[in-house]
Amino acid sequence: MTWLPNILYAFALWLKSTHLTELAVWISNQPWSQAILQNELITPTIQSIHILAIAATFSAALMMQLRVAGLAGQGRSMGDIAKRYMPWFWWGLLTLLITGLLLIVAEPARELLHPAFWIKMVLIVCMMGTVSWFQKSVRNDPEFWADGSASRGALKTGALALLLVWAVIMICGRWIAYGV
Amino acid sequence: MSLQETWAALEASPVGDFVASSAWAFPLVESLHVISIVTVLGTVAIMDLRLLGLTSGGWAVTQVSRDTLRWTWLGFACAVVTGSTLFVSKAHIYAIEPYFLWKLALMGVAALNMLYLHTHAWKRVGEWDTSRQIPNAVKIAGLVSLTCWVIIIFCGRFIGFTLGHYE
Repeated sequence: MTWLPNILYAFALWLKSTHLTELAVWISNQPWSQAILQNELITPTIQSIHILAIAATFSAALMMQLRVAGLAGQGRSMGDIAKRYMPWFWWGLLTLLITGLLLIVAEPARELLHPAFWIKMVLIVCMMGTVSWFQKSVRNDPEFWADGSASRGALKTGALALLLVWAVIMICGRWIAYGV
Repeated sequence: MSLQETWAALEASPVGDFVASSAWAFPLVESLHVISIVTVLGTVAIMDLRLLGLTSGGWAVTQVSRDTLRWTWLGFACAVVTGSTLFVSKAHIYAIEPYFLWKLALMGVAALNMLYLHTHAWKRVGEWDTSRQIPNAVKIAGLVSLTCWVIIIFCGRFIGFTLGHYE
């Protein structure tokens, strides 16, 4: 398993060699960046709101994935479940974007030069694509998501596999606080 | 055995020693703790918002409870295991950390609140199960629960910023 730290270390060195370093230095020299660091309570407060938003977005996704896997939400159509949770997923994600940007502004080098940050970003974009597809598909093709449909087995496996992606996203998020 | 000796024994235990000395154990267990607590808070909030009559209005209260409760308990069990693992790595510091103690106290309040709800208003859940008109006592229980868990999240995050003050 030594290849994993090696690749991550190489990734970190490469990030440092890009213009991201200059961008991070520029951001951290701005008064609006320094303003966030003025008071030591601001960063933990933003991080706490970030975690509350993860709870909203993740639990909304969890309930939809468990419905697809047949482990929660039985007795209601996929459309009903999506209608209940989809707004919470997207509003939570918007809150995550705003608080995440504030955390980058406060400590740009810590985020922008960390491999875990970029792994997390790529996985979040993949997750947004998957959820958008689900949202459209449930609306346009309810039979595909009906309980007796031929695609159930693969969809169940996919929904549970997606939980692992969530786990990696959150592990990467916490990992940003530590070195490579 | 005094409290101080208990904390020292926990820190010297194989788990305490390993988490404290390993470079990756603490961040990894901490990440699993975050995954556990967002599961707890998220599913608790889905239930509490239904009790407050704000969301899932078309679904019976008992239905929402069936959707969420076992995942809440699963998340909580994982949070206790991961949280205890983090605790034993620096037991004597956590034991005097104000945010940690507030967090424990609020979990006690949330537990009493849940106990009260289930031994009182929940006994007659059939009367308001499918209604958006929830009895005030139940609404208050939902609000107390949600408030406790939100503050617990804040306390948990603040521990990470103040722990160093006590070393």
